[in-house]
Amino acid sequence: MRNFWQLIIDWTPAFLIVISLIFAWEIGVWIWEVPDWLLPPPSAIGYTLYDRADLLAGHTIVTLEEVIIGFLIAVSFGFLLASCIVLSNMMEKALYPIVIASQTVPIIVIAPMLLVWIGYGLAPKVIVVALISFFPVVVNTVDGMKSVDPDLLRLMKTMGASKLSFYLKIQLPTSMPYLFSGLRVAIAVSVIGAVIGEWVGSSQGLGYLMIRSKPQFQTELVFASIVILSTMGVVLFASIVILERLALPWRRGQKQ
Amino acid sequence: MLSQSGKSVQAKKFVEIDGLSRAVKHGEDFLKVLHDVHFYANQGEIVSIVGPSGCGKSTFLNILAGLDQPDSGTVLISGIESDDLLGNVGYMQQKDLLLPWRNVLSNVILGLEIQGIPKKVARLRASEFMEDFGLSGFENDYPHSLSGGMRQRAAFLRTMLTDRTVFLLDEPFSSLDALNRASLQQWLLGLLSGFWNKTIVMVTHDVEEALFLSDRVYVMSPRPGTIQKVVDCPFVKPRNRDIVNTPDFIEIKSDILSHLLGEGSHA
Repeated sequence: MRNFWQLIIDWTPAFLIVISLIFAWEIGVWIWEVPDWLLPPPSAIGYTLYDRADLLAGHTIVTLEEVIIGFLIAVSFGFLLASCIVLSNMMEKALYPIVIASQTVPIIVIAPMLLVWIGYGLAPKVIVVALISFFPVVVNTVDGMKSVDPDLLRLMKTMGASKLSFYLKIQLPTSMPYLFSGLRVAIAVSVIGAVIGEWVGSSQGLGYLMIRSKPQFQTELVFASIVILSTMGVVLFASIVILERLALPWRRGQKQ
Repeated sequence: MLSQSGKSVQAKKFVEIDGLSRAVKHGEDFLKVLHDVHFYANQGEIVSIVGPSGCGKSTFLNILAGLDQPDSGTVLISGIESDDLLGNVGYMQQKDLLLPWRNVLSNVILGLEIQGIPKKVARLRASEFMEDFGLSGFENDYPHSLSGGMRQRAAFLRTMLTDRTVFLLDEPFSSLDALNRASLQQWLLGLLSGFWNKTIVMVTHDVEEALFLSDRVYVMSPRPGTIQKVVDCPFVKPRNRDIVNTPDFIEIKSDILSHLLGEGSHA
């Protein structure tokens, strides 16, 4: 319970700033009589969220699905890749440069090509999400596995441990906090990836809704989509943080 | 078990090292770390090596553990030659190296797990010793919540549970404060004289610690490390802290210290 109140106190300043900004926005729009299609007031956006809930919910589910599937692919693939890189020197030399190089190709260039190759539907968006979010997973996990104290390797060797058991008992658990840092970054960019995928070509999803609503001057729908997207990002991010606390109980109380 | 030389020895030599030399690459040339080291330890003995920092003590232990190979000389530990030592000698390093993600009980059974013993059996075996190692009641605690002394005792238990005949200790008390160190030394002595009939090779730079714990102390010179002096510790067992104030103890201690300091000054 004390934790709960501490949480409230910790978040109060940020919350107050957001509230003041929303108020300033509302009042500003009202004073300068800004038309809705240019900048709708927060109240109109809020009303849209309520009024068009069914429409928004349908598109939200599509985007959420893309994010989650793409993210899960990125995590499993990224983790596998990181393990290969750490377990074999040859794999490191062969794969790591490619992993890094893959990030220098702008995702916005690849996305339309995926459309050409695979077509519309879920697959190209999932691939964009996976492409954009696997990188932080790989890099962080590799770093984590390599951060093992060399004395621990010596200890394990004198205990007669094989390379595999060193990986399973030492490298894997050591990399966990690093993996979770990677996941937090990955989940945040996943949402961006899904929107990019939808912008390039789609018939549903919040990214599609934004693209469609803008030329129709339904600006409040664009903003409602933004609100949902950032809420989605925050909720997913928080889920990762909670998952980390559950999965790594030994980190609690170890350091702040 | 013994070498086939045919020579019969009274006590079983569990650790036998003859003419051990080792040089390591240092930039362009080789740096002699150990030179013609002779050393032995009988079954059940505690033998220490004292020397200034950088005298090759760690290299010595690494070779005994099988982590490093000698350039020349023979190393024989309970009948095993230097090539096959890795995984057959218990090695406790300076740091406790407890795994932060495992609780105390899971930490101490690490060696048993690697030997392929089922976790359940290993836990049961470890539980028997928690009391003697002052860890009972803390089985489920994570290492970060333990005191330095407790962490060190857990590291001891992890090493001892691997059930080797020979254990290497690299400055096992150096991370502790003086008071903790003294009480842990006393505890270890009691433990070893009690039911663990283990052969211990310990490296330290603390002369008093070496004399208090050991049956024999080897004094090593600065690089290249050679054995300068071998001192038998005549003090009867079981020992307690009081012996460090006896004239005999003080004399031997100051003799070794002057040796170490004398060597250090014109090195």
